[in-house]
Amino acid sequence: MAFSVEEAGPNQSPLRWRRFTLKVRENKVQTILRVDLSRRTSSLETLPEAWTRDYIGCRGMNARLLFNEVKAKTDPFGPDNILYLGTGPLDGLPIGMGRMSVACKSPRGTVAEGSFGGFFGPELRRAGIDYLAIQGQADYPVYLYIEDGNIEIRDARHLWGLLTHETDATLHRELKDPDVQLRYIGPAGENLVHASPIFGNLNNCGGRAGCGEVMGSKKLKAIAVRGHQGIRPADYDGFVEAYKVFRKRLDLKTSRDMWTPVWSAYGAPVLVRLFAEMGNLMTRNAREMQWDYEKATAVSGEKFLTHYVTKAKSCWCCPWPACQKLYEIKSGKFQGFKGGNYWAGQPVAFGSLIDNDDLEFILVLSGLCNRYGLDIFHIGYTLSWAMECFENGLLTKEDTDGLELRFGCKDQEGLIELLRKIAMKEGFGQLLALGCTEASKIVGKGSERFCLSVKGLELEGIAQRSMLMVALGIAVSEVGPDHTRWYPPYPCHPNLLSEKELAELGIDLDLKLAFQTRNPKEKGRLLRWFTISRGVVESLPSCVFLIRDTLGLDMRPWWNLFQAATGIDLPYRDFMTAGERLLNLDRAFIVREGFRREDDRPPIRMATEDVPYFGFRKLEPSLFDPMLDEYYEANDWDPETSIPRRKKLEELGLKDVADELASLSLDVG
Amino acid sequence: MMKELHLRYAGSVLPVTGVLDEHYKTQAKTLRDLLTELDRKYGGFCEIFVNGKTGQLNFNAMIYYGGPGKVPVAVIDLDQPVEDHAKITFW
Repeated sequence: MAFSVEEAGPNQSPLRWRRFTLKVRENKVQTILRVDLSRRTSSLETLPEAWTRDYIGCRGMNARLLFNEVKAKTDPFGPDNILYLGTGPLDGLPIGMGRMSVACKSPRGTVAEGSFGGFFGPELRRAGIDYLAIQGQADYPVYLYIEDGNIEIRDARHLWGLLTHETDATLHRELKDPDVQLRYIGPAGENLVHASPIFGNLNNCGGRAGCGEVMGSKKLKAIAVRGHQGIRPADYDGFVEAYKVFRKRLDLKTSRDMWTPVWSAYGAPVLVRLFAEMGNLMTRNAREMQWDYEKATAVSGEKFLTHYVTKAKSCWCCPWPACQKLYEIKSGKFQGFKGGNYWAGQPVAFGSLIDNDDLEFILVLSGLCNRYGLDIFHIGYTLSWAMECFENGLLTKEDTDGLELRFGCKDQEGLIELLRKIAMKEGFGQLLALGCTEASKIVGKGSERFCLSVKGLELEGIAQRSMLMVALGIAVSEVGPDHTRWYPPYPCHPNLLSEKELAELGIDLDLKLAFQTRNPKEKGRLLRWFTISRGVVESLPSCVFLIRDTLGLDMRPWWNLFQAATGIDLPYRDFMTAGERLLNLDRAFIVREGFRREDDRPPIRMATEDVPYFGFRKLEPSLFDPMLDEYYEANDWDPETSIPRRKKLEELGLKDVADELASLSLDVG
Repeated sequence: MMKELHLRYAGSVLPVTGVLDEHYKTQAKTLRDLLTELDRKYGGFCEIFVNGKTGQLNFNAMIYYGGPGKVPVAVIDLDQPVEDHAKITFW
């Protein structure tokens, strides 16, 4: 089934819609709309039903498509890199499954994959499309308009250069439809600034590993979608029953999970005060791990909620109290500044890392990142790297355009201007726009020691030396640091599931050992389990925040939802194997690009510096390597190279992947 | 013996206590004694943390105990002693 591409031209002439029969969609078979921006063509294809069994959807399907279609050594900024936006079989069902996955090859050669919430995923499905695959490059800035299966490539020259919230407002005004769902990039993505994500619903973003940069390289400013189809589960009654079981695990009173009540009311920034006293707040570029409790309290979720929040906002039909928060600064020098979302990451990136305890300034920096389309972690860690370089004389005021770049952030106006320069790649901003890894290569003089990144991507908010599974998870991730690929950092209370239940679920883990955050034993095996189970959840898709109670270990409620939604009768073991397939596809993708065991490493600072106050050991080889060995062994990957073995790949039905790796002379055993 | 503790209350406990933290003087010997005492001050406090049937810590609550000069760790046993100058966070 193919659709013609109609170009409306710069004056946005009226559309000529063909009659499209609206229907109620089911979830067994998924569709992909391919768009070639160079040739200005599109086609709608149906994916094999077997793929829904093997990869479920969303992140799993994106991993399969990416490995198949973006070949080794493809230029990330070239026309052959494909940007995928994927939904899944549960997307759009009214149970809080509104996530979607974006994926492409990152400019650093890794998988660039991220998921985000909002409303776009369900809307895309309601338009009759499960996946978008965008390749080629437009001659001038364009945006896609999709409505019920019809697609147009429209001129976006008037949008190019607009900030994200301006793009959102302009498109909604032009399209005269408040319900149209948008994804877009800001000036940072247009200018190919390192780690730029894709944005939507003003403050949601995903794909910090570079999906926004790749979208910018295609001169694709935005995607607008509107759909009117219904989505129904194959087995309605079965679905309702499965949902009741699932929902009970999230109940604020009965959920057996310490995060449920706290998270529901305050969201992730409630962690800040606890992190401060447990040695989990990376302070002054992680030179220290001890931030004053008073400072942490000043930027805490509790203060944010009581002083600045104007409205709570949720994603599509979320069953939890809304965890996103819109805010406004009502007085002082930033009076009138409005923004959205304050997670555990912002108080680290713009708080402890740069030693700034002015919550209003954090909110301004975070809000400006959203407007420019910048990644907060890229900015936070690159600023803290630059501050440490400055304080050590490796950068001077001549380099920084006269800015006194010191921890404590005295020159707030200077930093606000620097943020703009990074997004626009002007002056000193050009260096920081490369990210701290590349910038440290240019500055040299030992500045690499101050660079907190893995596989070229800056860390996130969670500290590593205090929680060893976190250290391992960040080091081995195929996209670079991304805690959502294995979150949470330790399992639910070990007494919640009996040994008998664990055996029934096929989980061979010592949970009591795994629960000990600073004991290196059982961390490799636990991480493997978490990565696989998260892969399954994100393929359905659902949100990692909804993995509460025992839902991270007992996956049967998810399995029941999948079966009722799709009508596919799939054994539990096969359902979980989809997550393992996904993990192996991602690993195969990066080893094909040349990544090996030596790339699965923590940053130099974490590997060489102890945290004496809290008694945390540095992640030196004697501590880190046994965890890494355990992880590779659990996955049946070669411990020397991290390349998946043929036997394992064939077991997973990925013989073609093994053949492809072998054809590139990679030793798959 | 009178002890001075630094008690910290995380978000979900805040509606019960009304304060984010406080320096608190007590003669409580164990965490369980302290919870009972705090329940008299903040009605419903104990119910958040102690399971009425088992007497153990609820699965959906957490207490971090930091002895003087030590890193706070999650509490498993409510009968553990309380030391002078300890920092205790209630989640």
